[in-house]
Amino acid sequence: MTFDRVHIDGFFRRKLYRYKAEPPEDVWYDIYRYLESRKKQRRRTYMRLAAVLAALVVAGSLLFTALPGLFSRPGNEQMAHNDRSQSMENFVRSPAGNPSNPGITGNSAVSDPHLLPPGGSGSMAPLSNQDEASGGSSDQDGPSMGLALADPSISDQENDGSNQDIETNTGHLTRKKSLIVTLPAGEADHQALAQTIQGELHSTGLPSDNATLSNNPPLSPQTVLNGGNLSSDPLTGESSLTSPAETSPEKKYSALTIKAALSPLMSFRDVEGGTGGFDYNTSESRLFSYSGGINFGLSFSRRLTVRSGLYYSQLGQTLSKIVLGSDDFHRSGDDIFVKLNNSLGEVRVPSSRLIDAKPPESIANIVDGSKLRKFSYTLGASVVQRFEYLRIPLMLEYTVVDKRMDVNVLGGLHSNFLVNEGVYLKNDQGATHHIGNTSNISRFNYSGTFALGLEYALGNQMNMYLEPTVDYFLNPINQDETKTYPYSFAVYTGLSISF
Amino acid sequence: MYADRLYGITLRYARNEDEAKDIFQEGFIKIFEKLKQYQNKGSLEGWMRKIIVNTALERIRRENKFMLVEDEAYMEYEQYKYEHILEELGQKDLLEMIRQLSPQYRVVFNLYAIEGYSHKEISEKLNISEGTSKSNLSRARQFLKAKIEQYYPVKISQVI
Repeated sequence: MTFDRVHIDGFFRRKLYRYKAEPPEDVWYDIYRYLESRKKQRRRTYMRLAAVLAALVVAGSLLFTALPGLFSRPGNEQMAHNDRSQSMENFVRSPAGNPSNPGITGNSAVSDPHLLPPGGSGSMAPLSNQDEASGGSSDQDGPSMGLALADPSISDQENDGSNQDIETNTGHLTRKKSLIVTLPAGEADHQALAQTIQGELHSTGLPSDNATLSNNPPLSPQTVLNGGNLSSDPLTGESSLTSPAETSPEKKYSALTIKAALSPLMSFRDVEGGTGGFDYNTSESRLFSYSGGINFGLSFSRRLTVRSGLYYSQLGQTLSKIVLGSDDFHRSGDDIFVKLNNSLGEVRVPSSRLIDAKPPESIANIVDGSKLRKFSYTLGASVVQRFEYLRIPLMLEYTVVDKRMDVNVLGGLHSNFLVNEGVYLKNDQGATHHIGNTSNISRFNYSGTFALGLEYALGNQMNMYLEPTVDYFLNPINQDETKTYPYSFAVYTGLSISF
Repeated sequence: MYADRLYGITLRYARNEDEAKDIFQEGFIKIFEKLKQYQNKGSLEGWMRKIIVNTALERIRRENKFMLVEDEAYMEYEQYKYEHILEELGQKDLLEMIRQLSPQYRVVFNLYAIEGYSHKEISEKLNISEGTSKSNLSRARQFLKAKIEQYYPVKISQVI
């Protein structure tokens, strides 16, 4: 048999193709650690992005609100008047020489033909400013009828030179009252209409002599009556006058809301960098505590609200399965203390507070390195690191569903001020006592917050709400090589009052 | 289940166990991260094996520049007849021999002789010419033959 190149290849292939060797044990540990850190890194990136996005939205909204002129166009002022035009008041200029009694003659209030509605050539139609702003068409889809009543007591006070008011020859500005009445379908009785209008005027307190109806033919359904809308169904011919409040799609919203909030809170942390991050995970776990506060919101529109307030929250973590080795004991003068290193920093605890069973001389021997070098002691109790914060949120709330049960999405930032911190020993019965403090902790942090709010109306002003919330610190809580970012989950609940 | 075999592959491509461990770790991280992409087409072992081999190649490419020996004459082997002696060699001995090859020879030999890739595929994978691949393989064989001769100093011609 020859040993040629085919044979040498085949020989190695046969021998080594299925060669097996057991990988080193620690390789799985390294792989797990790497994958975990990647997962956390990804989560942290998403949280930061969400926080930055929320902050940008809040900042943008605030800028938009604070500097309205920056974003407004020349016509915006006029648009703003549209809201007012939906009320019972707005302004028109009365004809020259008759300021006190414009005479609501169906075709005499406005002489400028371009102000007439399309198709309304024969009847008077002093367009309201919203009509003009919208290019001469009414808010109503169908033809509508308008009626302008002059109030001489009101003059040019709102005439700012913009084109929201209707120009007439004299330029005299009068307040016009708009009324809504219902006409019988098809044939409207002119006199009955006049009486109805008079009655309505009386009920609104407007002098009834301000309303006159001409002897012109009955108002046609196509006539546009300023402010109020007399609409006619183009199919049935049935006319109805409806109140602006009814026709407006805008629902009344409260400018100010105040909330009282309380929630259980689960907090933990992400560890980045350093060497002990993975090891810390085996001994550190989440902490359950609570949070509560007061929150107020300013609404810019039905859907957009900026929220702030003041909250108190307890964050932290629980250390358990603590094994103290000889290296953890140190001497400071006559005192012997234990260094509890953890992801949040270092906790120095007098050994006597942790270990009652060991005689002091044994501990001293450990520290001085004379005898019990191999000493290790498993702590029976767990240690709680607690950080108390006063938090000021700046959140933007957007109402996604605006029904009896509102659904809101909230995002923004919290400014977190550390007001107190402590390390507590917690025994099996749940009793705790203070044993020390954590060193190198930042006194101030920002956190990004995202929440989903469900709000149920209990009455006109009172709402009950539920708000699952996620909060993530944007800068590390500690000042060590290992950087630790606390995060928390809470479900805030409480009542809100609208004003 | 497949870890032992996959680790065996990394040992063939690596210079030493530390490097093999790194390749194995890197490869398995890719396997875990790409597991959703595996669509049950072909065997899972084959899919993982490919990832491990590619990981090994990436690493070797990163750390070693392939020598571009273009179109060097393909060397014929002297025929030896001592296969029965080779059978006595254990897997670890062979592995050790392969490890002593320079990175470029080792990779080409592994890909061609053991994994079964063609020179065309190797040239594409390593971004070298087919001639270079053949040349590297040839040199690898020469080297291995010399190693075997050192191991068994008696030539086959003398044995038979």
